[in-house]
Amino acid sequence: MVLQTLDSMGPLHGYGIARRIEQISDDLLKLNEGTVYASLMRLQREGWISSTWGASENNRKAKFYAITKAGRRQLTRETENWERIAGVIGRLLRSAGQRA
Amino acid sequence: MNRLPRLFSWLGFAWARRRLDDEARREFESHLELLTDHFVRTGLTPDEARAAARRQLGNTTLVREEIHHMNGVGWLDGLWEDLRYAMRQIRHSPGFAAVVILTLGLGIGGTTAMFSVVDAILLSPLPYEQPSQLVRFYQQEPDKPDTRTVLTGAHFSYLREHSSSFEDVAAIANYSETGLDLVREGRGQRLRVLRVSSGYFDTLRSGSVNGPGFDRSDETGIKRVVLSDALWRTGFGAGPSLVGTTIRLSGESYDVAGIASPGLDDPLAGPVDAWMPYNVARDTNEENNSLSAVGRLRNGVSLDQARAELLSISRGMKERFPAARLSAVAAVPLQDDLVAPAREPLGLLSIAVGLVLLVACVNVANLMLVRSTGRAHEFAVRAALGSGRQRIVRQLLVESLVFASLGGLAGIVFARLGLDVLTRTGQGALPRFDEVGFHPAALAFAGIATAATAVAFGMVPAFHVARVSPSQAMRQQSRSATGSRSQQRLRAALAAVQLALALTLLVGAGVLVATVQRLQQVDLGFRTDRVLTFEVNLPTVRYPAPRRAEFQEAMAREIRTIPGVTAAGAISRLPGTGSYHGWNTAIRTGPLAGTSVRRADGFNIQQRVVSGDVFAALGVPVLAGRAFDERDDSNAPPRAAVSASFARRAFPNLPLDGAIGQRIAAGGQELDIVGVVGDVVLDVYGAPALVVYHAHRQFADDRNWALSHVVAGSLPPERLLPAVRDAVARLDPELVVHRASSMADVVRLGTSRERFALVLMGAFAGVALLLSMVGLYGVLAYTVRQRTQEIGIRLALGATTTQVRGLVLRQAAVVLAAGLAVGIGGAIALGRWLSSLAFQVSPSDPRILAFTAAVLTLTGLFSAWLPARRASRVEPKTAMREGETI
Repeated sequence: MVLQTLDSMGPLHGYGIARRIEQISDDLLKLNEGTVYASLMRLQREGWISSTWGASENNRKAKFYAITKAGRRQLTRETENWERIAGVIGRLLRSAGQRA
Repeated sequence: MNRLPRLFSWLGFAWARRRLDDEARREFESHLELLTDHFVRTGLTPDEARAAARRQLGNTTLVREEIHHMNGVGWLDGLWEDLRYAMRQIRHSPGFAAVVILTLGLGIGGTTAMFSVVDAILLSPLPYEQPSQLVRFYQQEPDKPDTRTVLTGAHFSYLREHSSSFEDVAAIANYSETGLDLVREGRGQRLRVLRVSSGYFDTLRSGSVNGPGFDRSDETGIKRVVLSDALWRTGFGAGPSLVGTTIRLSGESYDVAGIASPGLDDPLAGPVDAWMPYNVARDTNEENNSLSAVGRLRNGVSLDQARAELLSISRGMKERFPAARLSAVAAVPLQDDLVAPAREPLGLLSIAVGLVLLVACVNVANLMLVRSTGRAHEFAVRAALGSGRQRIVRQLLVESLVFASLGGLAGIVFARLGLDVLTRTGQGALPRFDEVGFHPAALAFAGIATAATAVAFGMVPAFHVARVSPSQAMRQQSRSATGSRSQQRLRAALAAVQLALALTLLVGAGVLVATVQRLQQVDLGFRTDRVLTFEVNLPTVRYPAPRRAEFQEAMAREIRTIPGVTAAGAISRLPGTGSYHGWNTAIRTGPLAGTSVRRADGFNIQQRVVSGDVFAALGVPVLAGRAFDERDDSNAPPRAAVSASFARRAFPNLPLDGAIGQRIAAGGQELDIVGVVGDVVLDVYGAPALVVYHAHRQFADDRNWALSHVVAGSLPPERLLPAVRDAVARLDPELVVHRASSMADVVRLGTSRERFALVLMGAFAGVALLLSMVGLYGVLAYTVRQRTQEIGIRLALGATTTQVRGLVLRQAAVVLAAGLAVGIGGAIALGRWLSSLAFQVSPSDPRILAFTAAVLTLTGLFSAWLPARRASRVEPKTAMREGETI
């Protein structure tokens, strides 16, 4: 999700990412926004995103995260993976519905 | 990402953990403010907005903690925790830690110091280029190595002409008295000068001699010298143009033929100040074995090939020199030859120090075992709470390693101190000791010893803990979990092993003590107390033979006038310092007239040249006839005094008086016997000698005799010395008094090998005894603590304190008995190495075994006494109450 956000929106800071996730999930995924930073750290360690210090809209220092090449590759992989699983589950549910 | 870059990325993040945490905190603050602004825009009051923002952001500490853990490297983090835990344990029980670390330090330090010595003396190659090519030559009877002796000039020349296996060979005239005086600005300095044949520097391949050096044409007694680099610097200010000029030594002019490369020492004689050419041309005597000889094998020639060639050369020698007693020349590797006297003492001491290290390890293992089983409850709880067994074992190992590392550090300190002591006591006792120093190899050895020790004692408790099942330990409560029978027995066995090792070392020390004692009791036949000895070299140019003869007598008279001096004289070799001038002596008169007293027949026949009142100064009694006096000058017919054993051997069945007036011949002189004097020993081991004494005044023209002066007095030698120096200076201010020493020290030097071994063995035995006492005490004290409750019940039920004490002492007795039995076996095994040093003592002497066993038993009982007393003083009430709370 974070990778997708960064891929489509370009570099963002933590707050922006939280807002974006809130927005696209229609507040369905309501989480403690702090946990975003743990995910960001994990992605950085894997080398999928990079970070630089910059100035936010209200002129505060903030860390901006951007997706890296490796991150894009990972995103493609995960997206394909997800679609495959989603497809399988979809078919499974459909066939189960027909039988019932 | 691939594995490796990923690992690096992780390590990078772990490295920056603190900075990343700081950044996360700042990000949270920034996020909070943005969120607050956001809520304010939706219409909340600033306070409400801030609270809402907090809520939405969640628990930031938790997130930071998660990030912190994520960025750690789990294994390293665990290690760090284990390390910190181990350090806390050390702070918690400093006494225990100190004992463990000191014990390890002693073991490792002793081993390292000993290894430094063994490495420098036995293992490290000689400091010459390709030292394995160097050999030493001996003359001997074919296939009889025990008849080995140095070469004659004639045999050396023959060898040099006829051998082709050697790149070069060299002769070294290694007399202790060779030396020259260098006088500068009125101050005299005695130089150690070695006379060598021309091939010397090439044979040693000693690097370049800066200058022409010596060649064959110099072997004529020409006055040329090669100076040592050190003498060139200290004595001549490192003058660059010194080579080719002349310098004055002992009043004569010498051409400087070169400066030796820095640090060049003679392999046989050690540090040398200068070299001069030996007069090989003149030395044609085929019976005078006086030259040490070394050679360098040609590249590609093996020692066996060279030996084969020497065999055929020896056959040629036999034909050429039919009169020579020893016709074969043998070659042995120089290094083997040099270190041979050190091999056995060092072997023995290495074994001894190994035993000490073993005792130390056992001691630490025992201590760690006691402690870790005492902590079994703690470990059981931790295991029950989910700590993996592997994790616990690892923690124990880390603790052991911490102890071992600290012990290793202490060991390095001990090794340095030990080496200081070793070099001080070992100088002169063993060859090559000046090369001993703290060695990098020894440091590595300490590292290996440390690691091995850590594993050795770390694993025992680790296995034990791994075996105890948590539920069992929890149920049984700590006491019973730790006091299991098998562990009790293991600890007792370890204590017994320590005692056994200590006993082995004690017996070794005992044998050496007895040896040194016996050596002191050897009846030398001369006085050593309050006797001063020194040497004065008379330069031949200023002192021709007649003047030398008179001067030696005048010097004795002058010294005799010093208050406190009772007698003074001089002798060509001090008694008790070994064989010198073992010339065969012909018997001209009496029942054995026409025969000779010969070394070849097994007699230590010795010749000595004496001046002054030497018999009185040495305390050698005149048994018949008279000592030499002013009648025995160069105008009188040559006369001799002989030792009582010579008189008995040469003139059997006659009273000692009967030898007076008889005639013998030695050293090219026909001698009338005027006196018979008391026997003196050949060496400190009491080997008997048959001695013929010559009057210096009658023999001065034979050579410039280097006489050792002997001054007996009623004052200690060091207090006589200044007055003696003044007396010599009054006669000739340019003469140098050197090698001043007390007679007692001269004799002691002869037993330095034994004393060195004794000091070390004694120290090792002492340390082992101390450690084994600590071990025994530890086991008993622990048992008493564990059984406090039981003892309390016994006392409450009417046991007497004696019975309780007996309980503890019985356990001590069992351990002691086992230790003694094994230790005596060990001591007998050690005897093989001891016998080379033992003198008139059997390594398995029952008296020594009994005595050392008694010492061990007494100290053992002493260390058992404290726990026993503590047991008997247990207060039943408190003991039983304590039992509940344990």
